Amino acid sequence: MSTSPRKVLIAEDNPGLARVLSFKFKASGFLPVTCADGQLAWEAFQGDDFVAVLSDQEMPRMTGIELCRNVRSSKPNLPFFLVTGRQLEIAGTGIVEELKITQCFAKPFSPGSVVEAVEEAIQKHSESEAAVL
Amino acid sequence: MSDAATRSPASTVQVQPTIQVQPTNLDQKLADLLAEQLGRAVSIHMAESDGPRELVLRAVATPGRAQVEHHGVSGLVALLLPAGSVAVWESAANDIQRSARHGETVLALNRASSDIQQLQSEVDSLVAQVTNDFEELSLIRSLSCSIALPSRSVDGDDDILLSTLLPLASGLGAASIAAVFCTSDKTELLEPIWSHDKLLPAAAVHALIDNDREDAEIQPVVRNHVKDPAYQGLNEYMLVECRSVERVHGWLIACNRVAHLVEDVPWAQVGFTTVQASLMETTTNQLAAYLHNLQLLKQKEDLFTDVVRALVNAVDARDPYTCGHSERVALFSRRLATLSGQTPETCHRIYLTGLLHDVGKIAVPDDVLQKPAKLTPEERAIIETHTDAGWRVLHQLEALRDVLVGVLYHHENYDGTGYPDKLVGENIPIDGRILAVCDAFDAMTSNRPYRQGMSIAKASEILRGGSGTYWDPSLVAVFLDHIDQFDAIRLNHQPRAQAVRQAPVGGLPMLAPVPTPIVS
Repeated sequence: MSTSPRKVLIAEDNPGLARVLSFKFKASGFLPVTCADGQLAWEAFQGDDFVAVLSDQEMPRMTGIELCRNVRSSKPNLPFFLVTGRQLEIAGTGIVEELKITQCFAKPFSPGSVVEAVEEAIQKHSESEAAVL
Repeated sequence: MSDAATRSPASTVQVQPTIQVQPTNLDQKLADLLAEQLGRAVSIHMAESDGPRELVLRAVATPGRAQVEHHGVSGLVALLLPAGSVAVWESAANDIQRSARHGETVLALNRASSDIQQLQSEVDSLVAQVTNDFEELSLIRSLSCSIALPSRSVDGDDDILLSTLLPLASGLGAASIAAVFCTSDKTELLEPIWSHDKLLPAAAVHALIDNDREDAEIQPVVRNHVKDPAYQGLNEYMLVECRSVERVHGWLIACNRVAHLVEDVPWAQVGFTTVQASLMETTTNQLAAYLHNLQLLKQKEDLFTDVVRALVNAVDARDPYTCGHSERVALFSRRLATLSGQTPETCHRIYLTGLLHDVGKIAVPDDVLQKPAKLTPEERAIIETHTDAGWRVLHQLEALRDVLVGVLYHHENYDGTGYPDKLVGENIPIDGRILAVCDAFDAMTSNRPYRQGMSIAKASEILRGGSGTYWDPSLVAVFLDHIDQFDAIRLNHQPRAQAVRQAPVGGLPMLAPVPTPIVS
């Protein structure tokens, strides 16, 4: 187990929510990197290594789904979570399955369960990576 | 409303207008600010461009620190700007250090003020969130309280509904909420009940439900950007199924997000989102639980009624000649209880007791119970066991615990010569004293196969004569004061016809129960 902090990318344009998520992830031993829109998140993603991405859907410049599409081009299996008020409308469109979005959380969410789900997905992801190697 | 338009994320999920923040724009703005504050012309240079190259490179290497270059009596100052270009301005040699510090300070101040702005907007956002959460919490709490079960009556469903819908509409920021319930056989939709303005005709609401009910079985249906001539005036809505265990009670439809509630922040979301949907779902579930409880309560009351009816039937089946006696005594007793100022609860209890007062006669043998002649002392002793027998039959039924006292003591005499316990005067519970008067009155005035019933005048005379001996004098006085009312009850009373069951048809049993409610 490496001791370097596990970086989680958080794309959320609502600064209050970004702060809440960032607080919870920090408290759970992650190093959160928050970006106020999808474009900034995509730039940050390209310049660093993240164990998971957590994104809002509706953001300036790049939506969460667009961000996921970009992420998938290089990391097809990285845990990717959507946290959105449009969860009911997105469910059933098939996009979650198509982009292998790990889970789509509806707002308001429990920060605790979000972190738990991210932990679990990271665990699974690293196990399957290890199996491949 | 086309499904494709409302379901595909491309159209439902709105993309904010693109704002391109060019780094050079930002630096240009800061250069302008520097020029204004320093009172000098400020030019922008990139590290790789022409100009005072060495000075610019030094500035790039020392963010936040201005670099100077002397040229005789004047000199140049260079300062790295946040987006990567370098601001350069001229200054007198003797003033150059001061100008450099001045520039640094202007930039630092600007940075600090934008940091403050950023933090301020975060604080605003958090405060907005906390405010919303407070509203939601208090809404859920107040709904939990208002949805408490009514203590007695099952009426006033509409009141309960409105007391739920009104605060829910404001909590959701919905212009109006329609509640549509279906008949218990689920075949028909009832007229919508609106929390505020009626936004759609009933037929349109019903059509909306028919369209969405299948989707609503799985999750709340949220439709933003509704542009359908069939639902004129409907911009967006949420539809939630109101279901408890196995039964669908109906649907709640929140219509149109109130425009002024959409927050004035860049990340505000238009229309209804999962935030409102989950609140609506929670509330609807509470409402469903409430409706389910009402149903259970009704079932319980029906079962109770049926049990009482079955017991009364059991007595009547034993002694058909006194048929209707229990019901009449029940009606007389309730009236006498009312007239003597008892509470409504007591009156109802005494009515039930009247129905069941002779249930112990089940234990009396037929030849004694149905003997059409004067009883021997031994037979009388057997009859007199029916009060105790009644107690034994009923005492294990928790729901009928309250009637035990009247069943047991309706044959006590006021002077202490009655049975089973020879209680005296006011020691006899009021239920027993009231029943004793009414029981005697009915026994005297009703017809039997072997004798005609007495006249009212004669029965009144006997009651008056036994007042204080057999019966409570104050009750006898009230009874006789209102004798016309009791006579009217007696004359209006129609003994229930015995239920007749269908004979088997073609050798198959035809079991169709014919309920005839007797407990009001």
